[in-house]
Amino acid sequence: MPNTVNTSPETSSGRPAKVQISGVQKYFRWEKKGVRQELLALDGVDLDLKEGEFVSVIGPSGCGKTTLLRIVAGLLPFDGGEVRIDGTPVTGPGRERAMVFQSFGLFPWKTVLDNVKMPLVIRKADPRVADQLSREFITKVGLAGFEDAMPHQLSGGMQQRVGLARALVTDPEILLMDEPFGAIDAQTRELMQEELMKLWSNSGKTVMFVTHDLDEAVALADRVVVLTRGPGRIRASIDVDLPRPRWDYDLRAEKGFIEARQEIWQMLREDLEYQRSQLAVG
Amino acid sequence: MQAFLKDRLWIGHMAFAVVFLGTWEIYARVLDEPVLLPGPLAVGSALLTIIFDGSLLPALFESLRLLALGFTAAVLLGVGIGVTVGRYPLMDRTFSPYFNALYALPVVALVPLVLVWFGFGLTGRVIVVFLSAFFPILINTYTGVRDAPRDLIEVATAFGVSTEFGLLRRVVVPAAIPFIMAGVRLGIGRGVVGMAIAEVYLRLSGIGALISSYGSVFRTDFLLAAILPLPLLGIGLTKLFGYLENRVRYWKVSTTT
Repeated sequence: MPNTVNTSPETSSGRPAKVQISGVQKYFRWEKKGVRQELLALDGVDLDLKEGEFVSVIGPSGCGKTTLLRIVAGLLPFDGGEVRIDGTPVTGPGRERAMVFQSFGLFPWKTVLDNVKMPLVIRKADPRVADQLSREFITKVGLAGFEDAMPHQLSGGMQQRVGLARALVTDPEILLMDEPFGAIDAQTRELMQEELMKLWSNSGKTVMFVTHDLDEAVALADRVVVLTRGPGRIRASIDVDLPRPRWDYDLRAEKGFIEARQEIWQMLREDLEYQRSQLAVG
Repeated sequence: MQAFLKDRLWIGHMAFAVVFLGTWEIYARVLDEPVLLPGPLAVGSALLTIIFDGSLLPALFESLRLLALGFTAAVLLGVGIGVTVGRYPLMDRTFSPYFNALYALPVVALVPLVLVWFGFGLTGRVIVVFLSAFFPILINTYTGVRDAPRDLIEVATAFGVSTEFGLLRRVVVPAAIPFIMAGVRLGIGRGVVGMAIAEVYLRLSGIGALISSYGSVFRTDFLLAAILPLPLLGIGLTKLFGYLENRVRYWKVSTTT
Protein backbone atom coordinates (compact mmCIF):
# COMPACT_ATOMS: atom_id res chain seq x y z
CA MET A 1 0.00 0.00 0.00
CA PRO A 2 1.33 3.42 -0.89
CA ASN A 3 2.26 5.82 1.84
CA THR A 4 -0.28 8.49 2.48
CA VAL A 5 1.14 11.94 2.39
CA ASN A 6 -0.62 14.52 4.45
CA THR A 7 -0.22 17.83 2.78
CA SER A 8 -1.83 20.82 4.31
CA PRO A 9 -0.19 23.46 2.21
CA GLU A 10 0.38 26.33 4.56
CA THR A 11 -0.30 29.41 2.58
CA SER A 12 3.08 30.50 1.35
CA SER A 13 1.99 34.09 0.94
CA GLY A 14 0.96 34.15 4.58
CA ARG A 15 -2.67 34.99 3.81
CA PRO A 16 -5.16 33.27 6.08
CA ALA A 17 -7.00 30.29 4.63
CA LYS A 18 -10.53 30.92 3.45
CA VAL A 19 -11.57 27.36 4.17
CA GLN A 20 -9.76 25.33 6.81
CA ILE A 21 -10.51 21.65 7.01
CA SER A 22 -8.64 20.02 9.88
CA GLY A 23 -8.76 16.39 10.94
CA VAL A 24 -12.25 15.83 9.60
CA GLN A 25 -13.49 12.36 10.32
CA LYS A 26 -16.78 10.91 9.11
CA TYR A 27 -18.41 7.57 9.81
CA PHE A 28 -21.47 6.28 8.02
CA ARG A 29 -23.60 4.23 10.39
CA TRP A 30 -26.58 2.07 9.60
CA GLU A 31 -28.30 -1.03 10.82
CA LYS A 32 -28.49 -4.30 8.95
CA LYS A 33 -30.65 -7.06 10.39
CA GLY A 34 -30.39 -5.48 13.82
CA VAL A 35 -26.59 -5.38 13.69
CA ARG A 36 -24.97 -1.99 13.79
CA GLN A 37 -22.64 -1.38 10.90
CA GLU A 38 -20.22 1.45 10.40
CA LEU A 39 -17.92 2.58 7.69
CA LEU A 40 -15.12 5.08 8.04
CA ALA A 41 -15.57 7.38 5.05
CA LEU A 42 -13.13 10.16 5.88
CA ASP A 43 -10.16 9.62 8.15
CA GLY A 44 -8.62 12.86 9.32
CA VAL A 45 -8.75 15.09 6.29
CA ASP A 46 -6.66 18.27 6.42
CA LEU A 47 -7.06 20.76 3.63
CA ASP A 48 -6.83 24.52 3.38
CA LEU A 49 -8.21 26.62 0.57
CA LYS A 50 -6.78 30.08 0.11
CA GLU A 51 -9.02 32.96 -0.75
CA GLY A 52 -9.60 33.09 -4.49
CA GLU A 53 -8.06 29.66 -5.03
CA PHE A 54 -9.54 27.07 -7.37
CA VAL A 55 -8.98 23.61 -5.91
CA SER A 56 -10.00 20.38 -7.62
CA VAL A 57 -10.57 17.35 -5.42
CA ILE A 58 -10.10 14.06 -7.20
CA GLY A 59 -9.97 10.44 -6.12
CA PRO A 60 -11.25 6.97 -6.92
CA SER A 61 -14.98 6.44 -6.61
CA GLY A 62 -16.01 5.86 -3.03
CA CYS A 63 -13.13 7.87 -1.62
CA GLY A 64 -15.45 10.31 0.09
CA LYS A 65 -14.79 13.40 -2.03
CA THR A 66 -18.48 14.24 -2.33
CA THR A 67 -18.90 13.55 1.39
CA LEU A 68 -16.12 16.03 2.13
CA LEU A 69 -17.77 18.66 -0.06
CA ARG A 70 -21.14 18.16 1.61
CA ILE A 71 -19.48 18.54 5.01
CA VAL A 72 -17.97 21.85 3.92
CA ALA A 73 -21.41 22.85 2.60
CA GLY A 74 -22.80 22.21 6.06
CA LEU A 75 -25.19 19.57 4.78
CA LEU A 76 -23.68 16.63 6.64
CA PRO A 77 -22.72 16.23 10.30
CA PHE A 78 -19.29 14.74 10.95
CA ASP A 79 -17.62 12.87 13.77
CA GLY A 80 -14.30 14.56 14.38
CA GLY A 81 -12.19 17.51 13.40
CA GLU A 82 -13.33 20.91 12.30
CA VAL A 83 -14.23 22.98 9.29
CA ARG A 84 -13.69 26.72 9.55
CA ILE A 85 -14.61 29.42 7.11
CA ASP A 86 -12.82 32.71 7.70
CA GLY A 87 -11.97 31.25 11.08
CA THR A 88 -15.57 30.50 12.08
CA PRO A 89 -16.55 26.85 12.61
CA VAL A 90 -19.16 25.51 10.19
CA THR A 91 -22.36 24.29 11.81
CA GLY A 92 -24.67 24.37 8.79
CA PRO A 93 -25.19 25.95 5.39
CA GLY A 94 -24.21 29.60 5.16
CA ARG A 95 -24.71 32.59 2.92
CA GLU A 96 -21.07 32.85 1.94
CA ARG A 97 -21.23 29.41 0.31
CA ALA A 98 -23.24 28.18 -2.68
CA MET A 99 -23.36 24.75 -4.19
CA VAL A 100 -23.68 23.31 -7.69
CA PHE A 101 -25.03 19.77 -7.78
CA GLN A 102 -24.14 16.81 -9.97
CA SER A 103 -27.79 16.05 -10.70
CA PHE A 104 -28.45 19.79 -11.25
CA GLY A 105 -31.02 19.90 -8.42
CA LEU A 106 -33.46 22.10 -10.31
CA PHE A 107 -37.05 22.35 -9.15
CA PRO A 108 -39.07 20.79 -12.00
CA TRP A 109 -42.19 22.82 -11.22
CA LYS A 110 -40.40 26.15 -11.40
CA THR A 111 -39.34 28.08 -14.49
CA VAL A 112 -35.69 28.83 -15.18
CA LEU A 113 -36.17 32.33 -13.78
CA ASP A 114 -37.85 31.09 -10.58
CA ASN A 115 -35.17 28.44 -10.08
CA VAL A 116 -32.40 31.02 -10.33
CA LYS A 117 -34.31 33.41 -8.11
CA MET A 118 -34.91 30.81 -5.38
CA PRO A 119 -31.88 31.56 -3.16
CA LEU A 120 -32.76 35.25 -3.21
CA VAL A 121 -36.42 34.55 -2.40
CA ILE A 122 -35.35 32.36 0.53
CA ARG A 123 -33.24 35.27 1.77
CA LYS A 124 -36.23 37.55 1.41
CA ALA A 125 -34.46 39.85 -1.02
CA ASP A 126 -36.38 42.74 -2.57
CA PRO A 127 -38.47 41.08 -5.31
CA ARG A 128 -37.52 43.62 -7.96
CA VAL A 129 -33.83 43.33 -7.18
CA ALA A 130 -34.13 39.52 -7.15
CA ASP A 131 -35.82 39.56 -10.52
CA GLN A 132 -33.25 41.85 -12.08
CA LEU A 133 -30.26 39.97 -10.63
CA SER A 134 -31.65 36.61 -11.74
CA ARG A 135 -32.18 37.81 -15.31
CA GLU A 136 -28.67 39.22 -15.32
CA PHE A 137 -27.15 35.87 -14.31
CA ILE A 138 -29.32 33.91 -16.72
CA THR A 139 -27.85 36.10 -19.46
CA LYS A 140 -24.33 35.60 -18.09
CA VAL A 141 -24.59 31.81 -18.35
CA GLY A 142 -25.91 32.15 -21.91
CA LEU A 143 -29.56 31.36 -21.33
CA ALA A 144 -31.14 34.69 -22.26
CA GLY A 145 -34.53 33.97 -23.80
CA PHE A 146 -35.07 30.83 -21.70
CA GLU A 147 -36.29 32.61 -18.57
CA ASP A 148 -39.77 31.10 -18.79
CA ALA A 149 -38.74 27.60 -19.92
CA MET A 150 -39.27 24.65 -17.61
CA PRO A 151 -36.17 22.62 -16.66
CA HIS A 152 -37.34 19.48 -18.48
CA GLN A 153 -37.40 21.43 -21.74
CA LEU A 154 -33.65 22.05 -21.49
CA SER A 155 -30.68 19.81 -22.30
CA GLY A 156 -28.39 18.63 -19.48
CA GLY A 157 -25.84 21.29 -20.29
CA MET A 158 -28.46 24.03 -20.21
CA GLN A 159 -29.88 22.71 -16.95
CA GLN A 160 -26.47 22.94 -15.32
CA ARG A 161 -26.14 26.49 -16.61
CA VAL A 162 -29.27 27.21 -14.60
CA GLY A 163 -27.65 25.48 -11.61
CA LEU A 164 -24.59 27.68 -12.06
CA ALA A 165 -26.64 30.87 -12.35
CA ARG A 166 -28.54 29.90 -9.20
CA ALA A 167 -25.29 29.41 -7.30
CA LEU A 168 -23.78 32.69 -8.54
CA VAL A 169 -26.83 34.90 -8.11
CA THR A 170 -26.17 35.41 -4.40
CA ASP A 171 -22.56 36.39 -5.10
CA PRO A 172 -21.09 33.75 -2.77
CA GLU A 173 -17.47 33.91 -1.62
CA ILE A 174 -17.10 30.15 -1.89
CA LEU A 175 -18.41 27.97 -4.67
CA LEU A 176 -18.79 24.26 -3.90
CA MET A 177 -19.14 22.14 -7.00
CA ASP A 178 -19.99 18.45 -6.82
CA GLU A 179 -19.03 16.82 -10.13
CA PRO A 180 -21.08 19.52 -11.85
CA PHE A 181 -20.28 18.41 -15.39
CA GLY A 182 -20.25 14.66 -14.71
CA ALA A 183 -23.65 14.10 -16.25
CA ILE A 184 -23.01 16.21 -19.35
CA ASP A 185 -21.73 14.97 -22.72
CA ALA A 186 -18.03 15.43 -23.50
CA GLN A 187 -18.22 18.32 -25.99
CA THR A 188 -20.63 20.34 -23.90
CA ARG A 189 -18.51 19.60 -20.85
CA GLU A 190 -15.44 21.28 -22.34
CA LEU A 191 -17.48 24.28 -23.33
CA MET A 192 -18.94 24.53 -19.82
CA GLN A 193 -15.47 24.25 -18.28
CA GLU A 194 -14.30 27.17 -20.36
CA GLU A 195 -17.34 29.23 -19.42
CA LEU A 196 -16.86 28.42 -15.76
CA MET A 197 -13.28 29.69 -16.07
CA LYS A 198 -14.54 32.91 -17.63
CA LEU A 199 -17.17 33.42 -14.93
CA TRP A 200 -14.69 32.68 -12.17
CA SER A 201 -11.67 34.65 -13.38
CA ASN A 202 -11.16 37.91 -11.52
CA SER A 203 -14.17 37.11 -9.33
CA GLY A 204 -12.02 36.38 -6.31
CA LYS A 205 -14.22 33.43 -5.44
CA THR A 206 -12.78 30.38 -3.76
CA VAL A 207 -13.80 27.18 -5.54
CA MET A 208 -13.82 23.61 -4.29
CA PHE A 209 -14.45 21.46 -7.32
CA VAL A 210 -15.04 17.73 -6.87
CA THR A 211 -14.56 15.58 -9.96
CA HIS A 212 -13.48 12.15 -11.06
CA ASP A 213 -12.31 13.49 -14.41
CA LEU A 214 -8.53 13.88 -14.37
CA ASP A 215 -8.31 16.25 -17.36
CA GLU A 216 -11.02 18.43 -15.92
CA ALA A 217 -9.36 18.55 -12.51
CA VAL A 218 -6.04 19.71 -13.98
CA ALA A 219 -7.47 22.03 -16.62
CA LEU A 220 -9.47 24.11 -14.17
CA ALA A 221 -7.54 24.20 -10.94
CA ASP A 222 -4.71 26.08 -9.32
CA ARG A 223 -4.17 22.97 -7.25
CA VAL A 224 -5.37 19.37 -7.47
CA VAL A 225 -5.91 17.48 -4.23
CA VAL A 226 -5.87 13.70 -4.53
CA LEU A 227 -7.77 11.59 -2.01
CA THR A 228 -6.95 7.98 -1.24
CA ARG A 229 -9.53 5.30 -1.73
CA GLY A 230 -11.83 4.89 1.27
CA PRO A 231 -11.39 5.77 4.01
CA GLY A 232 -10.57 9.08 2.38
CA ARG A 233 -7.37 10.86 3.33
CA ILE A 234 -5.43 13.53 1.51
CA ARG A 235 -2.83 11.72 -0.50
CA ALA A 236 -1.20 14.59 -2.31
CA SER A 237 -1.63 18.16 -3.35
CA ILE A 238 -0.27 19.10 -6.74
CA ASP A 239 0.10 22.67 -7.91
CA VAL A 240 -0.85 23.31 -11.48
CA ASP A 241 1.40 26.03 -12.81
CA LEU A 242 -0.28 26.99 -16.02
CA PRO A 243 -0.79 30.57 -17.07
CA ARG A 244 -4.23 32.09 -16.96
CA PRO A 245 -6.42 32.78 -18.83
CA ARG A 246 -6.24 29.20 -19.95
CA TRP A 247 -8.84 29.37 -22.70
CA ASP A 248 -6.74 31.20 -25.29
CA TYR A 249 -4.06 28.55 -25.83
CA ASP A 250 -4.00 24.79 -26.31
CA LEU A 251 -3.94 23.86 -22.65
CA ARG A 252 -3.89 20.13 -23.09
CA ALA A 253 -0.73 20.24 -25.24
CA GLU A 254 1.16 22.22 -22.60
CA LYS A 255 4.07 20.49 -20.83
CA GLY A 256 2.84 21.51 -17.37
CA PHE A 257 -0.56 20.03 -18.06
CA ILE A 258 0.84 16.72 -19.25
CA GLU A 259 3.21 16.42 -16.30
CA ALA A 260 0.60 17.19 -13.68
CA ARG A 261 -1.81 14.84 -15.35
CA GLN A 262 0.77 12.06 -15.40
CA GLU A 263 1.72 12.52 -11.77
CA ILE A 264 -1.89 12.30 -10.62
CA TRP A 265 -2.71 9.43 -12.94
CA GLN A 266 0.15 7.47 -11.42
CA MET A 267 -1.38 7.86 -7.96
CA LEU A 268 -4.89 7.03 -9.05
CA ARG A 269 -3.59 3.98 -10.87
CA GLU A 270 -1.91 2.58 -7.79
CA ASP A 271 -5.22 2.77 -6.01
CA LEU A 272 -7.03 1.18 -8.93
CA GLU A 273 -4.53 -1.67 -9.06
CA TYR A 274 -4.82 -2.18 -5.34
CA GLN A 275 -8.60 -2.32 -5.71
CA ARG A 276 -8.28 -4.83 -8.52
CA SER A 277 -5.98 -7.07 -6.48
CA GLN A 278 -8.43 -6.91 -3.58
CA LEU A 279 -11.21 -8.03 -5.92
CA ALA A 280 -9.08 -10.92 -7.16
CA VAL A 281 -8.34 -12.05 -3.60
CA GLY A 282 -11.83 -11.51 -2.28
CA MET B 1 -61.33 21.47 -29.13
CA GLN B 2 -59.43 20.12 -32.10
CA ALA B 3 -57.75 17.50 -29.96
CA PHE B 4 -61.18 16.56 -28.65
CA LEU B 5 -62.52 15.98 -32.16
CA LYS B 6 -59.44 14.06 -33.22
CA ASP B 7 -59.93 11.74 -30.29
CA ARG B 8 -61.44 8.58 -31.80
CA LEU B 9 -62.50 7.34 -28.37
CA TRP B 10 -65.16 10.01 -28.35
CA ILE B 11 -66.74 8.53 -31.47
CA GLY B 12 -66.63 5.08 -29.88
CA HIS B 13 -68.38 6.34 -26.75
CA MET B 14 -71.14 7.98 -28.80
CA ALA B 15 -71.60 4.95 -31.06
CA PHE B 16 -71.92 2.70 -28.04
CA ALA B 17 -74.50 5.03 -26.47
CA VAL B 18 -76.61 5.05 -29.64
CA VAL B 19 -76.55 1.26 -29.98
CA PHE B 20 -77.21 0.76 -26.27
CA LEU B 21 -80.09 3.24 -26.06
CA GLY B 22 -81.60 1.95 -29.33
CA THR B 23 -81.58 -1.67 -28.14
CA TRP B 24 -83.01 -0.61 -24.79
CA GLU B 25 -85.82 1.39 -26.42
CA ILE B 26 -86.78 -1.50 -28.73
CA TYR B 27 -86.61 -4.07 -25.95
CA ALA B 28 -88.71 -1.87 -23.62
CA ARG B 29 -91.39 -1.45 -26.32
CA VAL B 30 -91.49 -5.20 -26.99
CA LEU B 31 -91.61 -5.96 -23.25
CA ASP B 32 -94.23 -3.28 -22.65
CA GLU B 33 -93.87 -3.29 -18.86
CA PRO B 34 -93.19 0.35 -17.88
CA VAL B 35 -92.86 -0.52 -14.19
CA LEU B 36 -90.21 -3.13 -14.88
CA LEU B 37 -88.35 -1.33 -17.66
CA PRO B 38 -89.30 2.06 -19.06
CA GLY B 39 -87.56 2.98 -22.33
CA PRO B 40 -84.96 5.73 -22.59
CA LEU B 41 -87.49 8.08 -24.20
CA ALA B 42 -89.82 7.67 -21.23
CA VAL B 43 -86.90 8.27 -18.85
CA GLY B 44 -85.92 11.33 -20.85
CA SER B 45 -89.38 12.80 -20.67
CA ALA B 46 -89.52 12.05 -16.93
CA LEU B 47 -86.21 13.88 -16.55
CA LEU B 48 -87.61 16.92 -18.38
CA THR B 49 -90.69 16.77 -16.17
CA ILE B 50 -88.77 16.78 -12.89
CA ILE B 51 -86.47 19.53 -14.18
CA PHE B 52 -89.39 21.79 -15.09
CA ASP B 53 -91.72 21.00 -12.19
CA GLY B 54 -88.94 22.16 -9.85
CA SER B 55 -88.35 18.94 -7.97
CA LEU B 56 -84.91 18.04 -9.36
CA LEU B 57 -82.90 21.25 -8.96
CA PRO B 58 -83.58 21.92 -5.24
CA ALA B 59 -82.86 18.24 -4.53
CA LEU B 60 -79.67 18.42 -6.55
CA PHE B 61 -78.67 21.59 -4.77
CA GLU B 62 -79.20 19.97 -1.37
CA SER B 63 -77.12 16.97 -2.46
CA LEU B 64 -74.33 19.18 -3.78
CA ARG B 65 -74.20 21.11 -0.54
CA LEU B 66 -73.76 17.84 1.33
CA LEU B 67 -71.08 16.75 -1.13
CA ALA B 68 -69.27 20.06 -0.87
CA LEU B 69 -69.19 19.95 2.93
CA GLY B 70 -68.01 16.35 3.19
CA PHE B 71 -65.56 16.65 0.33
CA THR B 72 -63.98 19.87 1.57
CA ALA B 73 -63.47 18.29 4.99
CA ALA B 74 -61.96 15.23 3.30
CA VAL B 75 -59.52 17.36 1.26
CA LEU B 76 -58.44 19.46 4.25
CA LEU B 77 -57.99 16.58 6.66
CA GLY B 78 -56.73 14.14 4.01
CA VAL B 79 -53.99 16.50 2.87
CA GLY B 80 -53.21 17.70 6.40
CA ILE B 81 -52.92 14.26 7.98
CA GLY B 82 -51.33 12.86 4.81
CA VAL B 83 -48.50 15.40 4.96
CA THR B 84 -47.90 14.70 8.65
CA VAL B 85 -47.92 10.94 8.27
CA GLY B 86 -45.84 11.00 5.08
CA ARG B 87 -43.19 13.25 6.57
CA TYR B 88 -42.52 11.12 9.64
CA PRO B 89 -41.52 7.51 8.93
CA LEU B 90 -42.55 6.38 12.40
CA MET B 91 -46.12 7.61 11.88
CA ASP B 92 -46.12 6.07 8.40
CA ARG B 93 -45.12 2.66 9.74
CA THR B 94 -47.58 2.92 12.62
CA PHE B 95 -50.67 4.06 10.79
CA SER B 96 -50.50 3.07 7.14
CA PRO B 97 -51.79 -0.53 7.62
CA TYR B 98 -54.90 0.89 9.32
CA PHE B 99 -55.43 3.47 6.63
CA ASN B 100 -55.21 0.83 3.95
CA ALA B 101 -57.63 -1.42 5.85
CA LEU B 102 -60.12 1.43 6.24
CA TYR B 103 -59.69 2.35 2.58
CA ALA B 104 -60.82 -1.15 1.63
CA LEU B 105 -63.81 -1.05 3.96
CA PRO B 106 -67.08 -0.21 2.18
CA VAL B 107 -68.65 2.91 3.66
CA VAL B 108 -72.13 1.33 3.52
CA ALA B 109 -70.98 -1.00 6.26
CA LEU B 110 -70.27 1.97 8.49
CA VAL B 111 -73.63 3.65 7.97
CA PRO B 112 -75.36 2.01 11.00
CA LEU B 113 -72.43 3.03 13.17
CA VAL B 114 -72.54 6.62 11.93
CA LEU B 115 -76.28 6.62 12.64
CA VAL B 116 -75.74 5.47 16.22
CA TRP B 117 -72.88 7.86 16.88
CA PHE B 118 -73.89 10.97 15.00
CA GLY B 119 -77.59 10.59 14.27
CA PHE B 120 -79.18 11.16 10.89
CA GLY B 121 -78.81 14.94 10.86
CA LEU B 122 -76.51 16.84 8.56
CA THR B 123 -73.46 15.86 10.66
CA GLY B 124 -74.01 12.15 10.11
CA ARG B 125 -74.53 12.59 6.37
CA VAL B 126 -71.46 14.81 6.00
CA ILE B 127 -69.44 12.16 7.85
CA VAL B 128 -70.52 9.47 5.38
CA VAL B 129 -69.40 11.63 2.43
CA PHE B 130 -66.22 12.49 4.30
CA LEU B 131 -65.37 8.85 5.01
CA SER B 132 -65.91 7.96 1.36
CA ALA B 133 -63.59 10.62 -0.03
CA PHE B 134 -61.03 10.88 2.77
CA PHE B 135 -58.91 7.73 2.35
CA PRO B 136 -57.85 8.00 -1.29
CA ILE B 137 -56.83 11.61 -0.66
CA LEU B 138 -54.97 10.68 2.51
CA ILE B 139 -53.18 7.70 1.00
CA ASN B 140 -52.12 9.54 -2.14
CA THR B 141 -50.93 12.53 -0.16
CA TYR B 142 -48.74 10.56 2.20
CA THR B 143 -47.32 8.50 -0.65
CA GLY B 144 -46.36 11.70 -2.48
CA VAL B 145 -44.91 13.29 0.65
CA ARG B 146 -43.05 10.13 1.66
CA ASP B 147 -41.40 9.95 -1.77
CA ALA B 148 -40.45 13.63 -1.76
CA PRO B 149 -37.19 14.08 -3.68
CA ARG B 150 -34.33 13.99 -1.15
CA ASP B 151 -31.97 15.73 -3.52
CA LEU B 152 -34.25 18.75 -3.78
CA ILE B 153 -34.62 18.86 0.00
CA GLU B 154 -30.84 19.01 0.15
CA VAL B 155 -30.76 21.78 -2.46
CA ALA B 156 -33.25 23.85 -0.49
CA THR B 157 -31.26 23.26 2.71
CA ALA B 158 -28.02 24.28 0.99
CA PHE B 159 -29.63 27.53 -0.13
CA GLY B 160 -30.79 28.43 3.33
CA VAL B 161 -34.16 26.80 4.04
CA SER B 162 -33.72 25.82 7.65
CA THR B 163 -37.18 25.10 9.07
CA GLU B 164 -39.44 22.11 8.64
CA PHE B 165 -42.22 24.44 7.54
CA GLY B 166 -39.95 25.98 4.91
CA LEU B 167 -39.08 22.57 3.50
CA LEU B 168 -42.76 21.59 3.41
CA ARG B 169 -43.74 24.78 1.66
CA ARG B 170 -40.88 24.96 -0.83
CA VAL B 171 -40.16 21.32 -1.63
CA VAL B 172 -42.26 18.58 -0.09
CA VAL B 173 -45.78 19.79 -0.79
CA PRO B 174 -45.13 21.18 -4.31
CA ALA B 175 -43.44 17.89 -5.23
CA ALA B 176 -46.45 15.96 -3.89
CA ILE B 177 -49.06 18.06 -5.73
CA PRO B 178 -49.47 15.59 -8.62
CA PHE B 179 -50.12 12.78 -6.12
CA ILE B 180 -52.49 14.92 -4.08
CA MET B 181 -54.48 15.85 -7.19
CA ALA B 182 -54.74 12.18 -8.19
CA GLY B 183 -56.12 11.46 -4.72
CA VAL B 184 -58.60 14.32 -5.01
CA ARG B 185 -59.81 13.00 -8.37
CA LEU B 186 -60.34 9.52 -6.90
CA GLY B 187 -61.92 11.05 -3.82
CA ILE B 188 -64.55 13.06 -5.69
CA GLY B 189 -65.93 9.95 -7.43
CA ARG B 190 -66.17 8.13 -4.12
CA GLY B 191 -67.65 11.24 -2.54
CA VAL B 192 -70.58 11.16 -4.98
CA VAL B 193 -71.20 7.52 -4.04
CA GLY B 194 -71.03 8.44 -0.35
CA MET B 195 -73.48 11.27 -0.93
CA ALA B 196 -76.05 8.90 -2.47
CA ILE B 197 -75.55 6.38 0.32
CA ALA B 198 -75.99 9.04 3.00
CA GLU B 199 -79.17 10.34 1.40
CA VAL B 200 -80.76 6.95 0.89
CA TYR B 201 -79.71 5.08 4.02
CA LEU B 202 -79.23 7.78 6.63
CA ARG B 203 -82.05 10.16 6.01
CA LEU B 204 -84.00 10.81 2.87
CA SER B 205 -82.83 14.09 1.44
CA GLY B 206 -81.74 15.60 -1.83
CA ILE B 207 -81.44 13.28 -4.82
CA GLY B 208 -81.59 10.25 -2.53
CA ALA B 209 -85.04 11.27 -1.30
CA LEU B 210 -86.21 11.76 -4.88
CA ILE B 211 -84.97 8.28 -5.86
CA SER B 212 -86.63 6.61 -2.87
CA SER B 213 -89.94 8.36 -3.26
CA TYR B 214 -90.28 7.42 -6.94
CA GLY B 215 -89.18 3.86 -6.12
CA SER B 216 -91.82 3.46 -3.45
CA VAL B 217 -94.62 4.38 -5.89
CA PHE B 218 -93.13 2.24 -8.69
CA ARG B 219 -92.54 5.19 -11.04
CA THR B 220 -89.51 3.51 -12.57
CA ASP B 221 -89.18 6.11 -15.35
CA PHE B 222 -88.93 8.89 -12.77
CA LEU B 223 -86.68 6.73 -10.59
CA LEU B 224 -84.18 6.32 -13.44
CA ALA B 225 -84.48 10.00 -14.32
CA ALA B 226 -83.56 10.90 -10.73
CA ILE B 227 -80.60 8.50 -10.70
CA LEU B 228 -79.21 9.94 -13.95
CA PRO B 229 -77.66 13.10 -12.43
CA LEU B 230 -75.45 10.98 -10.14
CA PRO B 231 -73.19 9.34 -12.73
CA LEU B 232 -73.22 12.58 -14.74
CA LEU B 233 -72.09 14.42 -11.63
CA GLY B 234 -69.40 11.81 -11.01
CA ILE B 235 -68.11 11.99 -14.58
CA GLY B 236 -68.25 15.78 -14.66
CA LEU B 237 -66.42 16.28 -11.39
CA THR B 238 -63.83 13.59 -12.15
CA LYS B 239 -63.18 15.22 -15.55
CA LEU B 240 -62.86 18.60 -13.91
CA PHE B 241 -60.34 17.39 -11.35
CA GLY B 242 -58.56 15.32 -14.00
CA TYR B 243 -58.15 18.51 -16.01
CA LEU B 244 -56.80 20.39 -12.99
CA GLU B 245 -54.50 17.46 -12.26
CA ASN B 246 -53.05 17.56 -15.76
CA ARG B 247 -52.51 21.26 -15.47
CA VAL B 248 -50.48 20.98 -12.27
CA ARG B 249 -48.54 17.92 -13.33
CA TYR B 250 -47.71 18.88 -16.89
CA TRP B 251 -44.07 19.21 -15.91
CA LYS B 252 -44.13 15.60 -14.81
CA VAL B 253 -46.08 14.22 -17.74
CA SER B 254 -43.93 15.88 -20.36
CA THR B 255 -40.74 14.42 -18.96
CA THR B 256 -41.98 10.91 -19.62
CA THR B 257 -43.57 11.45 -23.01
